[in-house]
Amino acid sequence: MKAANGAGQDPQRERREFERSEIARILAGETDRFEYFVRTYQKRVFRLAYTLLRDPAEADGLAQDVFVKAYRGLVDFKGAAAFETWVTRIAINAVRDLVRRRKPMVSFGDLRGDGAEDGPELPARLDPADGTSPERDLMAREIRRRIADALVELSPRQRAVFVMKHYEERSIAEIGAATGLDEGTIKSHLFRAARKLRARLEDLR
Amino acid sequence: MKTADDRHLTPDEVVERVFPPDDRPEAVPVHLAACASCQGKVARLREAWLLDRGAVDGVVDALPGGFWDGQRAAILRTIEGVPVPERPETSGIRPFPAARTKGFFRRPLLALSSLAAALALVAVVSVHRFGGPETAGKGSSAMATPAATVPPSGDQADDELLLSIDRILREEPAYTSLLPDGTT
Repeated sequence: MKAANGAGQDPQRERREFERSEIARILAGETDRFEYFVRTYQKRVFRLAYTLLRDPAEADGLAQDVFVKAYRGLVDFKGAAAFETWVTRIAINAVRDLVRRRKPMVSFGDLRGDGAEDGPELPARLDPADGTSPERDLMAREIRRRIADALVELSPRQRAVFVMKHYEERSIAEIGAATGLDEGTIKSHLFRAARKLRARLEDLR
Repeated sequence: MKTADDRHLTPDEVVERVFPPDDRPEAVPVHLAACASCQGKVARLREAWLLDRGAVDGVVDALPGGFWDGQRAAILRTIEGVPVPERPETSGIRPFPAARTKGFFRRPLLALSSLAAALALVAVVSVHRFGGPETAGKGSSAMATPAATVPPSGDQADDELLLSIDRILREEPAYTSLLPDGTT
């Protein structure tokens, strides 16, 4: 959830200052200080990677690579953006490279384990099987599968923009900071992503 | 005749209700507020999307602490073998030769072409000084002269070499661009 307006500004600035000083210490030789960054952001990076790739093992490997890349590139971190934004950008680029290398494209459906027709296991409170109407549950499962399949058809950049906007609830400005894209391009990607999604859902009533 | 408020939402509009391409929430169309069918379509899509998002969150949240500890340990282990990143104080001003050498050798084409140009220059200088196959074929007058057979003193040799280089740089069109402005 987003922080309340105004209330979250000072802690954010404090965190940024703290992280900047931590980076300076790492660059001065206190390399074990990097653990703070891993501990603080590993879940976030993994979640983004997993949402984009839908494969826990791949997401795990990618998250590890992202932090190693971030460590190697610490000297290039100018502090203009927050560390989180910077590491998100590294993650998005890493996913893009991975998806481009991974050919032919594997659908999310193919990545699921045997017997798991409906994707990752849902927490009990969210499982559609707990619903009262079997028809409604079936429909929800079908729509969900189509959303996942539509996501796989998006270009890596479109997928990243779409996931950040609708799964991570990031603002257009935040997406812009993380991807380096301008507002118009981001909206264009979102628009095209929605069109592809619509094409996937067209025959559903 | 149906007005915009009367008609059902198009599939695109249904998708855009759930996935707005903007930060600002759009106003709810009058029709949507009153039409159960359109509300159902929007609700079903939103529900499915939330399920998908919830599934992702569920997977991530369900991972045990050991997974995160293991991942962190693996990252830190990898980093142990990586040299400490260069300090920012030195990153602003890089020593000229080191940076040039690094960049130079990262571009093999440039390195090879520079080497070839240097060798060509040396070859041309040698030919002009000692005579190439053409001069040798004309009677090898340059090689046969007593002055050429007698080894010159060290100073003389240096002067000759420098004069040869100057001459070639001025005369050979391929090398005139190497001269500083105003020297031609």
